[in-house]
Amino acid sequence: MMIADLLVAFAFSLLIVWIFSVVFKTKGPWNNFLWFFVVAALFAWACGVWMAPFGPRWYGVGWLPILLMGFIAVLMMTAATTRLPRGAVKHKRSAAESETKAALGVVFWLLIIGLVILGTTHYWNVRNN
Amino acid sequence: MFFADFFAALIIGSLIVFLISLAFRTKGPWGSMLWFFIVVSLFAWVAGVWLRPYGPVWFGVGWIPIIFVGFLVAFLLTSVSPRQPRRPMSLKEETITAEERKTAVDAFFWILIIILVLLATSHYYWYPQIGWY
Repeated sequence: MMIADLLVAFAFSLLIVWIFSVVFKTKGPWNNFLWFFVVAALFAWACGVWMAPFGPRWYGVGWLPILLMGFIAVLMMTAATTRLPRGAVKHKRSAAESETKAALGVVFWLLIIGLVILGTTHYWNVRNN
Repeated sequence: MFFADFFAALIIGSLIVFLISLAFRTKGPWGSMLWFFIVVSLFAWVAGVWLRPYGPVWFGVGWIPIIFVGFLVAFLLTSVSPRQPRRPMSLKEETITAEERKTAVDAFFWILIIILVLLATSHYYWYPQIGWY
């Protein structure tokens, strides 16, 4: 189930991140599509599998909690990303983009490790109960 | 249960935001401790009611999921927030003003807040046996 859950989380997150990046012209808080997608997918996976199961199942995967968590994670990150108004002058945009890039610091890696641990411990917990 | 869960999330959220802001010298992506606290607490509340119940229960509140998700979201927001450097920057390096660092509290922010509130409250609607108190 772990691989299936993870694949579903990655597929949904890729779709959501792509839609958000096209619609709202953002690459996320790190100004990088890959990091935006990775964090959203891990958040969707970790929180989706820990949620009480609800909704339909597809090949044994409860995809609705994963989809919901992925959407919320992408929304939260888009909310935390600085965007300029559509009519902003181009040189101002480039200056602001370089300023608002968040560094891939210790907190970022703590987040990634925390999400991976949270996701994997779910299966350990299920196996032991 | 509704109010007990909500107040537990508010208390835990405020503690987490206080600790994170001290440790990482940040006020969150919106440059305001209040918004940072509100988002973390709402996520903690949503998680506390929607996640599978596990861990010890205190006055009817399963506080472990609230703490887990509170920290998770606080870390996520801290990772995307501007932070004050520990050493003072030179004039050449310091090109970003505090005002410029702030991310606008715009439509996205309010959509996020509304969804979180709806998500949490719908849980009590979905499971009426849990009750609102």
